[in-house]
Amino acid sequence: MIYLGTLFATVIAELLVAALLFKGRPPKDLWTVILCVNLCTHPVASFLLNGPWHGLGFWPIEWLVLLAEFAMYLWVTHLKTSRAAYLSLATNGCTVALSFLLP
Amino acid sequence: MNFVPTILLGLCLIAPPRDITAPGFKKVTHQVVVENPKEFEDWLVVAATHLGPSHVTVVEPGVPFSYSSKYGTVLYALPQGTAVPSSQDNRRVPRSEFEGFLSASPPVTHPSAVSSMSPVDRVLTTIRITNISNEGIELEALRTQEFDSDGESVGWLRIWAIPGGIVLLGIAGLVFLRRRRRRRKTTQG
Repeated sequence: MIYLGTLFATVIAELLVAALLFKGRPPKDLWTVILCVNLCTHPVASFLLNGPWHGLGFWPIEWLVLLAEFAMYLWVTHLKTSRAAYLSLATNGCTVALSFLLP
Repeated sequence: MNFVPTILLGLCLIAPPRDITAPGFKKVTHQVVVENPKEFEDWLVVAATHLGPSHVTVVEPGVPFSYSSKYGTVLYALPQGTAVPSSQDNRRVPRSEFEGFLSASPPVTHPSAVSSMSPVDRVLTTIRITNISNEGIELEALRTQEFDSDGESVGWLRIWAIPGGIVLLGIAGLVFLRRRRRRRKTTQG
């Protein structure tokens, strides 16, 4: 349950950031895309943090997540490269900040 | 917005101090058990931690003792009959008390912290002494077991079944959305 709780908090935070970024007018399906992207990256990041690649460290893993989400946004949505990069940076920047604030 | 990558890059270059747990991690209790300390009759095996809280333990076969990578737990082989240095008045046993004795660091590879989502609460590493000679102590790591807070063994499947299922769900969702987008594009074209 702890795991699902953190996943839920991450998705909600990223949806809120995306809503701010697109001023409440997001491209079609963006909410579903953000949800699916997080369903893919969140457990993998957790595995990297917890698994045999633990030595990779927190920040390199965050960078990998950021790049993976950027690639997924480009693959699934109509967003331009710069918009997809901003979306990935903003959402992940926010969740990284939250990870320091939340227990 | 451009400050975000700069901040992330800057933080990426700062190595966290050893005693700070990164966000998303939690510390686990680490224990080591030695299978065969009594096989070497001429020696008494002792585990000692010199930094932080002082611990000096005579190692018994199959009995776990606390291990800390942060405080540097070391195994010593003392010739039988030697008095074991012990702490008095809760004072730390200085490293100098063990000077001249054979020593080795237990070959523990499990990280001292795990993801905060992990059910793992305690880690037990079983090691074996392969040789004690004037050259030193030779140790071999046999296995590492993970336990939850109830003392139940934590298997790989228990840790990753739910996250694995979630990843599959996410991939399926992305593939569905991608296909739908392409279908729409074809219909419009």
